[in-house]
Amino acid sequence: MTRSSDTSVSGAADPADGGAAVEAAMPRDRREARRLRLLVLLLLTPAVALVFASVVMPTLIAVVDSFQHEGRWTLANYASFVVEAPYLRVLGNTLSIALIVTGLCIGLSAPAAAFLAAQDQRAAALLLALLGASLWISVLVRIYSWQVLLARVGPINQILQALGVTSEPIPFLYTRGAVVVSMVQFLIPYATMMMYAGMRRVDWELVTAARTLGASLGTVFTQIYWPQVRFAVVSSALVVFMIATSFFVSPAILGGPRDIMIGMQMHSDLVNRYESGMAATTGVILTAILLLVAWGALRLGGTSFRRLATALGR
Amino acid sequence: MKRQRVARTLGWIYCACIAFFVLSPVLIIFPASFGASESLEFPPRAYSLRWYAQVLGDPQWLASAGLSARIALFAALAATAAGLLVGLSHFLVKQVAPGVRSFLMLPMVAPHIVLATGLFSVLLSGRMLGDANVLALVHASLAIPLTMIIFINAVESVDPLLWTAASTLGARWWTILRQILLPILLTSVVVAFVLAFIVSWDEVTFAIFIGPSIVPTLPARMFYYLRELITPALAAVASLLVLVTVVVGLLVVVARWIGRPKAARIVVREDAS
Repeated sequence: MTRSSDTSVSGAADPADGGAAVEAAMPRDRREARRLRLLVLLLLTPAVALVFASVVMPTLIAVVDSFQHEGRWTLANYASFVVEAPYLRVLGNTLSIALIVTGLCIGLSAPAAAFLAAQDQRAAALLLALLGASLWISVLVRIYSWQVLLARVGPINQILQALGVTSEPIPFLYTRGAVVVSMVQFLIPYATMMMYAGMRRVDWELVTAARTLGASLGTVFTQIYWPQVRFAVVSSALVVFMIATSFFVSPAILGGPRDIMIGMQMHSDLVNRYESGMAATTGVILTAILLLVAWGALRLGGTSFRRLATALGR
Repeated sequence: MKRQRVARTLGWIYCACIAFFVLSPVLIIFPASFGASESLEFPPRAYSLRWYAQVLGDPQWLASAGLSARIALFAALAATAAGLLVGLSHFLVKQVAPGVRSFLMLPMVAPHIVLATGLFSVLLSGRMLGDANVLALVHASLAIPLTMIIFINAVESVDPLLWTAASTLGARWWTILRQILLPILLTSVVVAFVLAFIVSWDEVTFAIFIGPSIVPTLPARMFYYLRELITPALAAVASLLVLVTVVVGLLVVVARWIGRPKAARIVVREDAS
């Protein structure tokens, strides 16, 4: 692009610093600068207002509601949560299912992501595009396909019976296993893509250097490779865990009565009691737990490799 | 070297298996929707279009589809407009404050069931529970992280000197917007619109918690049906859902393909002068 010295533009000396060129060209005095800021504020208002109204406000309201019962300020809801029947069990279910799903998901996706990260980018792009395309399959379609696959007369049972593994159809549906499998299927694309992005930054020269110096594969993995990918894996696991705890469509349809997860409990509270006290309390407790887990995970596994390396080097 | 090649082949096979696992719902639902028998079978023993006929002629399903489409259109418009404005402000001040950007990413991170609970309470007392427009606005804010990222990226590749050159030649800001920025951003507008549409079209959680209930959105209706009956009609609905998504997704591909050479054309013209 021609960089002809168009000096009629005030002070736009450095074309590479394009943004500053615009800034230098447009606001010529303080009044214009202030007008620009106001304009930016105006432009940002719709998006900020929408997000505020649908994220910040409902969270605050849920917090307020959790402390209210029949119009009075009270801790009764929290007491009920601990004491009354299904809540602690449902919370336990949710956390354990989410943990299993996260473990399986990361365990299955990490090798794939690591492999793809080491390949030529264009080759990996096709596979990632396939995974990305799967994100557009509605979650209900997936759940329905599991209903078809896992039914008593479904293909899996047919194959098992044809092979002689069992003589009676196995009830796969309405079990925790069905819930876990469907959630893992949903979350694998997210996990793979997030970990791939992080794993692409691995410095392979360090690995080569270590191998040249005679390090075994095990040492290379624990001392060189893992510290570099640790952050990507931990943060992906965290995101998967957070999404998994909020899942409610899968357990509602594929799960049995012992697999009730927290989303279903909240929904039934809202619909049956038509007051949001208990549901709000559940939501607040869930959010608190998620924040705690996030803080803990990032503390334990989140130091970026570069900071660690620089610290050790000193 | 041979060990490396074997390892590499195994790696690709593993990745292919994962991709197959993840994409399998489409491969299952599609054939099952053509099954002729009353109960759902896979693979179907006889083929028929009766379920598609039943679904497309059923006023309840059509009403839900129409509602979902209207909500998705409204949500996509709002999300695209909001995202476009964020992108423009990023262009004007070189960098929208990172705090603002992180704030606008919140809908992606916050657990939807908690937000839905709070909204339920507010809407209940405001007597707006089940209002389709409210659901559309909520969907729009769910899509804002996506549209915002799309427009910020698009805007970063626009040469700010274009604005400088145009204003030096005497154009006012609305002309610059109309004749220079918007044509360049057109692809991003289409992509953002389409992605926001799909986010709203497939959204289940808010639709069930705070969405219309007499005529529920299409995913909500599917959810209620999934809990009760299992006929292949549902497979037809599911296939149609996927079909809409695929068609709409192809629009993205087409838009990208049309939009790509344009920036180069402008550059060439400036060089020629």
